[in-house]
Amino acid sequence: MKSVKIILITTCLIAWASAGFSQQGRTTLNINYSVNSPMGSFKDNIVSKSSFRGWNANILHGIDDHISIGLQTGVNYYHEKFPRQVYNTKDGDISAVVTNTVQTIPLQAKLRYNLAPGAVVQPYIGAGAGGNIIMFNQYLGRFSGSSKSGFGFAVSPEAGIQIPFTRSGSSGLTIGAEYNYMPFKYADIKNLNNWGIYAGVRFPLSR
Amino acid sequence: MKIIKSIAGCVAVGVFTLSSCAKDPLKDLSDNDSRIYITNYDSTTSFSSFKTYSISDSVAVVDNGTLQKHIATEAEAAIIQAIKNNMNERGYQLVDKSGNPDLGINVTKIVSTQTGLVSYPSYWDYYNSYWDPYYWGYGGYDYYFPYASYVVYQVREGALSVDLIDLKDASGDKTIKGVWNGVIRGQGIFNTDNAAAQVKALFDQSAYLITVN
Repeated sequence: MKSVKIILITTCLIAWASAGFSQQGRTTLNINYSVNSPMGSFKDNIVSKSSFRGWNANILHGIDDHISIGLQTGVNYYHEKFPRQVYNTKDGDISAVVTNTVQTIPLQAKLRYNLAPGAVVQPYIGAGAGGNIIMFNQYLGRFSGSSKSGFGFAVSPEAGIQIPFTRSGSSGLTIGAEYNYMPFKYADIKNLNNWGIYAGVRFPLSR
Repeated sequence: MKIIKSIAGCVAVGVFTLSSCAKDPLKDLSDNDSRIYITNYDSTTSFSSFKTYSISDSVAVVDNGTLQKHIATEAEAAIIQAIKNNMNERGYQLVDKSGNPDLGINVTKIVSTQTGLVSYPSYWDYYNSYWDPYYWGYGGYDYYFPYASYVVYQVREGALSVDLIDLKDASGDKTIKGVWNGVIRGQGIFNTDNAAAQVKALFDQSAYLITVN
């Protein structure tokens, strides 16, 4: 019980000590490792497995203690190999092990709203809007069957928490989740919608 | 501001560096998984109307669009034997080519030493020079395939093509119609040990290729 009290008091002290922190006028770089999972027709028709080869980074500038704006980019790579199957064609059939790959590189404007500036744990919500460089490839066996590259519209709402390392610094941990709405029309593909979780660190770029 | 520009530049470089370092999707593909089996057929043909067939005793080797030779080594013999086995199982009777077979079967090994594209319709355009109709006793005839096979893939290891031609109806207008074509692409296709399984795969996906004697 005594240790619980100590933890509570320590937490309150840190929260109080951090109260003077302000993000207004500061610019931060946030780099995260991310894991994303396909949804809907993306999951049903192209790749059902999650991407464990992703990251994202953003540069945000504090307009005031709550609102920061900036840019975001990153990479997600989806890949799945399907067991051999016979596919019907117009005048025949093809038997092949099909491999689908999708790579997305977001280039988005970003807005983030800090719900509790100055607190030890600062929840936030935000959204990115812009586009994605998209590269889709389908292989039949070891042969390139079809491919499509392009730039597609994307919107990415998010929510998460940031935990500053120090009372007055802008450095800290970031943990969050995002949903990516990504229309992409090609053959049977309607969109590349996905959701993901990310974790990383952020650094101040200005004081 | 200078720092921001530098960081933004580094991020941009990082994006394109990482995007180019994406996992090679074909790295772990086995030889078996690398192979694709393509079959096309004339849907107006009734395959049960054919009762007998004959098959060439060698394989034509076409290298970069040019007929090099006809060969009959162990690997080619294994492929031809596998085709015979599958045709026999489907009810067709093997006869000598002088015995008026209903179907003729040509086997062609297409080799390309450079990366490029192979279009099978264009391959058939040269078919007369690979398999002279004279071989089947129809000198002066032309081959044609009534269906389009737009199988165009990047060439790396070559291909094995098996063609069924309609000799039964060849006497009409000096043409010989191709009624079925099977193509195998990928690694290990010229390996003797793979011959039986590969040919069986072509027949397995061609259930309509059957007759009753």
